Amino acid sequence: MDALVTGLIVLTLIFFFLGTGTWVFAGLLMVGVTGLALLLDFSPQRIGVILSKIMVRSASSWELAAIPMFVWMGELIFRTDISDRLFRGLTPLVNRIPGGLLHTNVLGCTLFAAVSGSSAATTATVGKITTSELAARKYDVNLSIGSLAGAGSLGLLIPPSIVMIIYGVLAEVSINKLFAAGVLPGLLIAGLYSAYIIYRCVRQPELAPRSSEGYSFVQCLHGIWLLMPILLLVCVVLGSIYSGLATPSEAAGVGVAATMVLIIVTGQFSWTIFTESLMGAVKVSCMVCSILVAAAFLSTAMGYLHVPQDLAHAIGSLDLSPYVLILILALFYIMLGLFLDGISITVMSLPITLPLILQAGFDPLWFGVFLVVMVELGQVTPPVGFNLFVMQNLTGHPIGRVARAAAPFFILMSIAVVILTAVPELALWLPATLFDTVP
Amino acid sequence: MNTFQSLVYRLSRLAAQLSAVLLVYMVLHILLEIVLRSFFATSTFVLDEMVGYGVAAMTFLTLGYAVHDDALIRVNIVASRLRGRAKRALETLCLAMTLAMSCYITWYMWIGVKRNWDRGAVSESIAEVPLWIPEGLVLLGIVLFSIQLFALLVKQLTPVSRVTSE
Amino acid sequence: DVKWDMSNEYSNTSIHGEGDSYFVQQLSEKSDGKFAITVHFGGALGFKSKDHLDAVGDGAVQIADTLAAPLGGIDPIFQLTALPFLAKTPEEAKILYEVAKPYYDAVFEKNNQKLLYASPWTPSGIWANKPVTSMAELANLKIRTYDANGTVALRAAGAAPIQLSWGDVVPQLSTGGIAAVLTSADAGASGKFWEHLNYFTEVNYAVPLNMVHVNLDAYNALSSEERQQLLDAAKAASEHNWSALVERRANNYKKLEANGVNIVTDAPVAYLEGLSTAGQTAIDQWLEKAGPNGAKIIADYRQRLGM
Ligand code: NA
Ligand code: NA
Repeated sequence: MDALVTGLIVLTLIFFFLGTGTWVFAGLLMVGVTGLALLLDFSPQRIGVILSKIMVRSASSWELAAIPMFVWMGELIFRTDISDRLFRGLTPLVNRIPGGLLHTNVLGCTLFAAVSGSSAATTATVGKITTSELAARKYDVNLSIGSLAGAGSLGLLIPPSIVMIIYGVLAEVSINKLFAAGVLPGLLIAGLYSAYIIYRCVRQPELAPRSSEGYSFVQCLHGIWLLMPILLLVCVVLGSIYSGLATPSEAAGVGVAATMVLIIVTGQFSWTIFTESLMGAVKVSCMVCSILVAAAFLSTAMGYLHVPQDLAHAIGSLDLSPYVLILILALFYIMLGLFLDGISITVMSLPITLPLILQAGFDPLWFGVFLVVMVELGQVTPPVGFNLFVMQNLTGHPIGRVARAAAPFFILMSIAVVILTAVPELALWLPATLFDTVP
Repeated sequence: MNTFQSLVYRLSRLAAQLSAVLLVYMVLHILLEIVLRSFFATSTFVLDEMVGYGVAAMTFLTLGYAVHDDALIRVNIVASRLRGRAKRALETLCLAMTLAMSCYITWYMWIGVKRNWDRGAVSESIAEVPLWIPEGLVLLGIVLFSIQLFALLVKQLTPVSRVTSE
Repeated sequence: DVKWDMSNEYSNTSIHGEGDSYFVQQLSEKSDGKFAITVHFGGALGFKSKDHLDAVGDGAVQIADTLAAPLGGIDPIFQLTALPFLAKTPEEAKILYEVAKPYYDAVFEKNNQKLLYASPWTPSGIWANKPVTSMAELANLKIRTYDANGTVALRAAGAAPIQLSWGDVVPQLSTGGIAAVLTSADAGASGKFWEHLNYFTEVNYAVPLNMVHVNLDAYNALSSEERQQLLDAAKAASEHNWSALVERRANNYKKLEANGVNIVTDAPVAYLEGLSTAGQTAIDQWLEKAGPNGAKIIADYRQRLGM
């Protein structure tokens, strides 16, 4: 149980350095440096070499490039009438549903998740569009923040998904089947979120102010018309991926270009919008990417400390029954998710957990989906939760408040994990239907 | 002192504008790659390499601007409960720790860049980009970030009266 | 007791991942568990192969398992094993390695490290939806290559090489963005290429090598007994890996056939010679960079082969 002690020490360091109020990315670097120096007695020279190399390597990443581009797309949408039309369009459509426009967070993230492969980009883009609108319409801040932080993580579960690609390569599972396997669980989670919003708003209608007037059928049709620009953008980006024109990583570039064309065609383009959206995009993506880079270094430090390996070995040596194994692994991944990012969690734990899973008779395809949901859970748990950081940045509310707002959605996602474990067909049915029909 | 502050901020903003140019370049390179691959059955052969350099340079070149404009996330649980001198002391501590960390990184990145310069190392792709260039941009970003932190630290340590009396 | 960390960019089930596990286990047996190496598979420590020369030289990790070719931008010698159609079989790759070994040793020593052993990947071939057994079938084929040499060679052969990151390969195959991939049967199997492609043509493009190298300070700090244990384990692992190659390829082919992939092993000699000629373009470019040492290695190698 040395690994547990080490993990707790690292967690303490995180609370200390982030607690002083230093910038998160700098704080994470300090945790890594201190951990290596204190616990492993590495020399300052050795740590410096590791630190500089890992920072350059993890920042020079093709996979990361989608983040600034999707963020830019969000900034462009935010600064033009596309976002306003999105809200005016959805208003008559969701007016009858308790929760009203709060569902745009869930719907918007589900739609955008089908375009983007990362949850940080999904949260930042949709959040940029919805948070200020929802606040202006006096919707409950906690529900707004929480549903966005929770639904933003669908970016990883609904294809395309960076983590799924990495899992597929490491576990030698078909990436296409993984993508298909993520769809229904993703929709299930989205459904749970919407159901929860409805439940809360039925009990406390003041959480979601609705206009008393009813909307006519014509107004609903007009609403759909108002949604055209955003639907068009989603179609262009999805179309570019599924027609084979662009790879999922390139789709972000297509998204920016399509948005730009749309803005020019509708006569909204101006040099001010162009430069302001760009400067806004580089600022937000600097915040996200610098934290990802620091998290990569922290992961490296955890690797040197052998925490994930030792913990996974300890679990393996317990010789557990299948469902107890899954329960313990879920707790293990939640613990890693407290302070590591999704890709690191996947890469570090898989060599040990995958054999355990296979031995216990679980389908590696199913486990891929399970792992992605566990990674998503880590996105909304403090102290290191990327969706929380993004929401803090968007709303200006302290991280503690953001984390509390996200807590119900964490629980809903955990319920989805239980359902997924009890009914594995939820993940396995679609890929089997799509790919295994040929005898 | 104010001229120093504004000079540093202008530098930071210039670097962030360079990042913005890099972002535009990345989008254009991706579009070019898609067109070449889909319609001309060829490739620029360096897309993921160049865009990778772009993301790294962007991230680090924007740090100074982002920290000045308060766009980098921090956890304010303790600081928000403090007032007056305690608050200033904590802010000074954060700036000093981050500046120290940033200088530490600068030194080891400098060693890496210099080594790649000395041995003429290039990337393994068809473009054979000298490795000191992308790493040098990252280094430049970290250096500018350090300078911006230093400027903020000086401002923090300057008595309030002198800062407010423009 | 000695405790080292080892970095490997590839997964624990790759041929080199399995080789590392064998190496670590041998070392543990020979030292009664006193010499322990923890392997960080899948690049879990954050280093890629191209980082390993400096990471090991500077002592960031004591030991690493490294695909040699990406280091070619630092010293051209590392590109040797990636040259197209130079070493076409594992046997030839071994001879090429033996010829070049003194030069590898020198480069590693210059970078404060020691080469322990090298071991091969299974030979690369062409994955496509048709057999690619003539220049006509190769003409304008949209094929993903993994390095600059492949791009140069395949372009010279009239194909349309495309560069993509590995993660984008399967999505592009499934949507028809590319038509073929130049890689080993092994890598194709791990990506389940049979879901999109049903021919693997053995053209014996190259047999890339991975090298296991250790920091010289860490090595010198070992007792003579520990050093011997390390070298013995390295020798055992090297032999294990070279012989595992044959079995691995047989297993790959069985797996491919079970999944409906046609394996073409009898490409016409004239075609293969045509490919070799195209590959010579890349070799010539390399010779310009590698200078007299490069020319000497190629000459010695061809002499050993009796050409
Ligand atoms: Na997605
Ligand atoms: Na977390």
